[in-house]
Amino acid sequence: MFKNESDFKELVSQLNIDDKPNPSHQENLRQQMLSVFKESVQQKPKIILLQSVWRTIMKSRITKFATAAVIAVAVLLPLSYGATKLIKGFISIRQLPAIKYDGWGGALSPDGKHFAGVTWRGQLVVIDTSTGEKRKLTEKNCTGNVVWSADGSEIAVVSSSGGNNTLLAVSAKTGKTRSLMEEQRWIELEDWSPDGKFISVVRATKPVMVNLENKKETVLAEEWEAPPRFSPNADLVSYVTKEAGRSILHLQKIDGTSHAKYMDFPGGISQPLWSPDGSYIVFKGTQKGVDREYKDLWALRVQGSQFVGAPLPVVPDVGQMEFCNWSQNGQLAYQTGFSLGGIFTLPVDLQTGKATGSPRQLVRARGWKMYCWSPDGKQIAVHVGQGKLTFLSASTGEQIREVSLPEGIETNKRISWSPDGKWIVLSGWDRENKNGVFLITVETGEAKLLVPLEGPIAFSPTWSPDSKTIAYGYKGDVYVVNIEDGKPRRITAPQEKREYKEAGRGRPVFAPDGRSVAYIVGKRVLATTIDGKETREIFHLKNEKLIINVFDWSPDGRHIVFTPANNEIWCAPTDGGEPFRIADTSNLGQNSWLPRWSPTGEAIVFNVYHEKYQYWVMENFLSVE
Amino acid sequence: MIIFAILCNIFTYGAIILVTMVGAMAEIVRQKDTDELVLQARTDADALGQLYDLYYDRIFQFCVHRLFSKETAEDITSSVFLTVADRIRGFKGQTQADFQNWLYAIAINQTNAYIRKTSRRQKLLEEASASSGVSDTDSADDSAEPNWPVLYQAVLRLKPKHQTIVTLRFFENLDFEQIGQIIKIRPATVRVTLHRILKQLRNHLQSVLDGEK
Repeated sequence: MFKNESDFKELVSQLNIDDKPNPSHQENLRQQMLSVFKESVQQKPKIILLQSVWRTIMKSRITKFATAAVIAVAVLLPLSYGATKLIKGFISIRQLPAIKYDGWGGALSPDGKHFAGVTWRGQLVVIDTSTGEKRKLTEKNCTGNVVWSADGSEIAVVSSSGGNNTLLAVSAKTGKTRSLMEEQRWIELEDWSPDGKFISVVRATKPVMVNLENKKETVLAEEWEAPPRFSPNADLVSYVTKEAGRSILHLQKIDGTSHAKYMDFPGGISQPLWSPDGSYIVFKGTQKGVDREYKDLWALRVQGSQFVGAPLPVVPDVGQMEFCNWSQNGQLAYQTGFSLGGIFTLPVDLQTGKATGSPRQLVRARGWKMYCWSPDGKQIAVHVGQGKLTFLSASTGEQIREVSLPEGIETNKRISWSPDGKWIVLSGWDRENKNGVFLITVETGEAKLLVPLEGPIAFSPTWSPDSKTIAYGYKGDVYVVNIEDGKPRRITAPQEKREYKEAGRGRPVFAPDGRSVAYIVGKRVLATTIDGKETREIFHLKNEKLIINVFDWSPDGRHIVFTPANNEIWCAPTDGGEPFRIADTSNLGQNSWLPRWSPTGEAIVFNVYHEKYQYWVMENFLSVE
Repeated sequence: MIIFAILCNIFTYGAIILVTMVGAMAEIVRQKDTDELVLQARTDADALGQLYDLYYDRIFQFCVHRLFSKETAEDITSSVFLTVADRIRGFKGQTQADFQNWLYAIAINQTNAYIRKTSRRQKLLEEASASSGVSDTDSADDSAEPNWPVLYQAVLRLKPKHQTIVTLRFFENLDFEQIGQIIKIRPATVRVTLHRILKQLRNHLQSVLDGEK
């Protein structure tokens, strides 16, 4: 064995190693190499330079680390400065999926991290926009809109209890409340000035600004179209009114020293919002085109206390968006979503009152709709809003025709088609604020105000089988009116019983025999003869968990169908038998309502409420800047 | 006579000196020619071809010494010269020594990269082991001298960098300074390291001869 380097060298020299090259490999490789060389000669010098630079970098650790540091700085520096500005310049629209909220209009906190709103149960809640964590700040009684304070520490909300309305400032962290203002009349909170000194509310139809320090009120207009909003500097207030059919956007100094109006927009102005820097007011502009109605977002520049130029369109087709607020961090929050409910039909057996099949959607619709059967059972008339009646095929749901009602008559009560087919009766109001029971001519859509009323809207007008008399509920009583003379007559006895006082009377339906009118009193359905002399119990619901929300007679008078304000439809014999459930509609939506038995007795139509709300934010959409 | 003898001697020594000087001059010229070749090879295919002819054998043999298998050595040699062809335009060296160092550096990288993969290393060991099995040096006698496969197996147990030093020093006959330039360490370090490597190699060699794996 070798002992030193010389020995090892000797050893190696004596090894018989076959390391003689193969001439053919040598020659082939030579040609191949020269071919590669010629190709590389044609490379662009830039690539060579890059290779050279790369090799220089890779020579030592120091150059490697230095290069890595340079690259990191080159990437991070623009990201934190220039690129941030660039990124901010992009329009972004994103959903806030963590917000699961169904209630009154909510609002995003100034930093965009929380969303506050009032649930239908009257609880003020705050939701973390990232995690969806929901905190309940108040137990109940809250109602309407919420407004965040400029620093995000408090939320203003109206609390109504026992006829008193208190405007509260609720701590967003602790839920601790302090009273900002007390009011006997109904008010709707609209805004809270960023300096905390003013609030704007709508009382009846009037937009009002209130100084919270001295309680001095300023009525901004007699009637509002869009609520007052304070500018980010808290020196201006803007609101919308309507004069001679034209929307007017007002810009008024809070101290009253200046008042500008913009009245040239060719359409309706709604949901105005200030941009966080106060340089623009954006609004939803509604315009009727020859082909369709356009609802776009427009922006009007504000300088000082004046409007500058004309509004510019910034986002198209915002009709489905309900704007919440525009937070200080630049996010315009809005609500949109799916309306998956509609009018459904359920096949039933008239003899037993039981369902003979599954519910089927006849037509999709948003929210609650008012509808009635035609006397022959072939059509369904639906009040679709915006002063329109639509007539649908009862078998297919296809639209047969549509009529526009004069003065855009609206309703939110059940409607009824006269058995002779000539009229539809509805209780509602028109654009001229005429309120009462209207008779609509089915053929032409002409309207006649049969019973003018003051105050609340009458309940559920219903026809007698001979088409001569209408019954309706009003202020807890049931009235009948002959369509010839239009003179209403109360048929229910004065409200003496405690049950009546608590439950009131409502939603009358003429009995199929025409001799009485049935109506709901608490958990009972009573029927009073049209002369008012006799009242008898038709049905008494003994199930403690259910209520009678709304009901209808079967055409033969042997059953009533009712909805207990949940996802079920029930049927009850009128001879005292036990009620039974005929449909579970929980797979169709959140709630079912307004069952109407067809004149032929083969089907019941009902309304399903199925709204899935989403909350989104939109940023950097003011490309007009 | 004496004068004649002296003149003859002077003539002879002069001739020797002259021949030596001419030889030295020729070497200088050749060296200058090779340096020129290196500069030209960046843009000239013929010059590159001449450099290839000068170095192909050495690089191939280096690869054989590092990889045992001639077939594998051909593959790696191809890879080395194709790399040279691809990168020669960016080569910054000025002399033949620079080119040689660069060429060896590429070959070292490529052979080490090949050996670094365990499966390939194992294959080379098996191939060497199979070759040593048919040799006549399977005795465990201390006096027995290892053949090439046995020695290769022992070398392959060293660290890759140490394998390179052994190969360059004993198979390629490079001096410490050249080795230092190629693998970027000081010549003195090469010397000290080599001393340690040989000690290690002796142990490895003994274990291979003893039949250990």
